[in-house]
Amino acid sequence: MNGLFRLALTNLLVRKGRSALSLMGMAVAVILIIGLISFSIGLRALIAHSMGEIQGLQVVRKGSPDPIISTLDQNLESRLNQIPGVRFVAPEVWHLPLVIENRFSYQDGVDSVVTLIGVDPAKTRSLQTAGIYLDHIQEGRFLEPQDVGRVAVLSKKIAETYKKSLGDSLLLGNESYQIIGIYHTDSVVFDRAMFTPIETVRAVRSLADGFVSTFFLEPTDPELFSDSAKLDALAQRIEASIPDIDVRTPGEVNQQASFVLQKIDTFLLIITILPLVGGALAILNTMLMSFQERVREIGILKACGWTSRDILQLVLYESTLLGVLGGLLGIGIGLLAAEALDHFFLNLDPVTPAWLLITAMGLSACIGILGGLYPAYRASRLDPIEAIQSS
Amino acid sequence: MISFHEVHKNYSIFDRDVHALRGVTTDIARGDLTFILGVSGSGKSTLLHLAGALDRPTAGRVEFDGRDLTTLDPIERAHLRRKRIGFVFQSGNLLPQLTALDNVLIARIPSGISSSDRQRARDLLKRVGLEDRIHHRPRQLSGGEAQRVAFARAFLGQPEVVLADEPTGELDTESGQQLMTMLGELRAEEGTTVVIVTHDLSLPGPGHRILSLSDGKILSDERIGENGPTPSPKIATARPLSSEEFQT
Repeated sequence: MNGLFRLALTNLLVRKGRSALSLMGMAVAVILIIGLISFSIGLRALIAHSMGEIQGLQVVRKGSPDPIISTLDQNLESRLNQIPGVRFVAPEVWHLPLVIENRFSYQDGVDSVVTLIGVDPAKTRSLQTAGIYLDHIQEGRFLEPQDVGRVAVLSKKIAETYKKSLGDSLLLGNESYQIIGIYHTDSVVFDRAMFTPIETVRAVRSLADGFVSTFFLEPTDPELFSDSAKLDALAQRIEASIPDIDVRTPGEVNQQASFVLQKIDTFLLIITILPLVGGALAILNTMLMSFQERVREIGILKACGWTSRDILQLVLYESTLLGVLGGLLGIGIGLLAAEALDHFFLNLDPVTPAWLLITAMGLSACIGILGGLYPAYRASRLDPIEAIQSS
Repeated sequence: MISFHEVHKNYSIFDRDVHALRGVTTDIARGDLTFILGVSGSGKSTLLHLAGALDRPTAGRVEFDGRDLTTLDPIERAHLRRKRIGFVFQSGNLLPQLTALDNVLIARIPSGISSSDRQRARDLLKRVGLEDRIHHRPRQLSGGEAQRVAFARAFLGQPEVVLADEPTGELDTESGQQLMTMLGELRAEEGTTVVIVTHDLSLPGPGHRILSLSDGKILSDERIGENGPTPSPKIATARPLSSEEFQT
């Protein structure tokens, strides 16, 4: 082991308490970076993956940010069906119940929120490639054309959240829905929906017959989903044919989500800069105190032939070691904490790519160097005589 | 070996000018054992620091083997100290976090410690009677033992000169005498030039030189040979310091 490095490590070990505090300061910064960015990447990947599974286009009223506040005339269905490139059209009515099982649905965060989607079972079952819910039924069955009234197919996550099983009833507002099927896509995007016959949701929303929230379109050519330009061209063609509608492709939804995530990332970046500055200040403080205590020691080293550069190197080794060790500690705790948070609270599948770990380590080392620069400079500039004569 | 030519050194302490050395001219010859005596503030430590390239004179010239130390840049001065000079100070010579062995090797850390360095450090610690204290840290050593480690460190690189600033200043008489005896033996074995700033005249046998300083000037220069004192012809008329002045 390099002698300077060994001495730097020894110097840190001698002042265990202070070094530990600096390490923790650095570790907290890295934990935040790893945790927040892992969740951001995980969320992005999850949305991208989920959007990739949607083999269809969504039609909403022009300017509606979400199908829940969109209203369309159901007569559009036949016009949409006539557009070249459209294979099948399935109408849907969306609703967001605010009271579930006599509790405010947002009470436990997004995990307890349910989107109620009314579908025409016969038409939804006619979807060839876009029926992702049909493909993921785990218990019971999907809705049949003969199903009427308050019957529902919901996700395994919703069933678990409200502790329900197949055959049980779930209370939305004042209405009780019997669970006839449970699906599981393992996607936080899709596993928030509960399906029931379209007339049932119309009644809940007091929506007149002949109105829907959205149409789900399945293109004739499923290969379009691997060619975003062609898919966009089809969406534009539909929009050109029928005024006052927006046609959303999965890529467009993904882009919207990415835009929001980018804003969140910028916010996260600002949030993580603060603890990084804190980490640098912790190291600066530790190194300055250490320098004050070791003035005579530095004088002795200079008398023994150490150059100013040797002294500078020693102090920087110490501060960099603090940064790197703090970074390693932060990465370890950050990974464990992200997994634990995901497992017990968030279910967002955090993703921690190698570049994030390398960046966190690089940042830690840089923060260590930055925190040590000033004390190292002062130590290297010490006059040996004054240093030796200091008490 | 080390020559001082009309050396002046001024300091400014709390806006007060202090003339530590006032035109000192003298030579320290290779192989000499020189004691620098003088009251506090007489300039003896300043002379030692200048000899060891730790400081620069305000005026005049200090030469080491004919080379003017004032012309050397900080790196050259550091290399000179590392390779050709050994230092021992009054106290606090050792790094508390390191063992005796590592303290002896400290000058070698930046350039890398070789196995021969390590072997020589062990030999030196054995020669100063600390073979069973090699892995002890300074807090586990007595004051005398710590100073012996400091001397072992000073001799590690087989320097041409060892400069000691009151090495026995904080030791009891017996420990001080033991240290001086040990230093005499090391010097004899290594053939090193030794300059000691001290109040302690319990010297290790004949054959040394006493340079007395007062108020930044050389007061007397006396060579103690086998047959007693031989005053230097240059300053034979200088008055030696009285024992009371030494005690001050």
